[in-house]
Amino acid sequence: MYLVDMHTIGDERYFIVIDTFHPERNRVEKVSDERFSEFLMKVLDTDVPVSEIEQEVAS
Amino acid sequence: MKLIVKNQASEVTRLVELFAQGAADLVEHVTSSFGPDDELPRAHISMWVTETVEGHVYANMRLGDPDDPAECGFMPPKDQMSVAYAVADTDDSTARDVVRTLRSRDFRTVIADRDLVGTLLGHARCAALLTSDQAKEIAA
Repeated sequence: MYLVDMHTIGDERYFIVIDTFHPERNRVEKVSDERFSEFLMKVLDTDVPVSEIEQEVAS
Repeated sequence: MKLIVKNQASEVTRLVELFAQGAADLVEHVTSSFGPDDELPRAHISMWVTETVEGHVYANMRLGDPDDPAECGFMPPKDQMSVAYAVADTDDSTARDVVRTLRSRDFRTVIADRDLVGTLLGHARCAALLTSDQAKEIAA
């Protein structure tokens, strides 16, 4: 299962990335407001394939 | 900055065992507290995982109506990833329906799903990390 949760604490924004097939890749990542909003727009766009979103947050 | 958060396979196994025990405990609770036809409207079974900043991991399973404000203690913590399993397709559900659900193959499959439980654990661990001092490392 692959999950990217967009998390906000105060003014700080984080991605929580969970990949149960590669649990060693699970991570918390602090991101900029710009990156956060860009990614939000992307996941709201239903035409974007999930594989592309996975690829973007992979590594 | 990124912080990697690891799950051990043995931890997922332990959580799967705990959720199975939780389901058995709920059957015991419902059968001893209610008659079979007693109404438990809009019954849902919620499950989630929490981890404390000290690293203690808990499997949580609750029975209740997620939209009933009187049952606020029933709800998973805010921002916590959870699974809500509806006992009936309609608002009408009884104690008998709850027990039948807890014993059903479908529900058992959900709580034994290692992929799902691993995701709940990973999320709980990340949430614990964000409330710990280590969050300052991420922010640095």
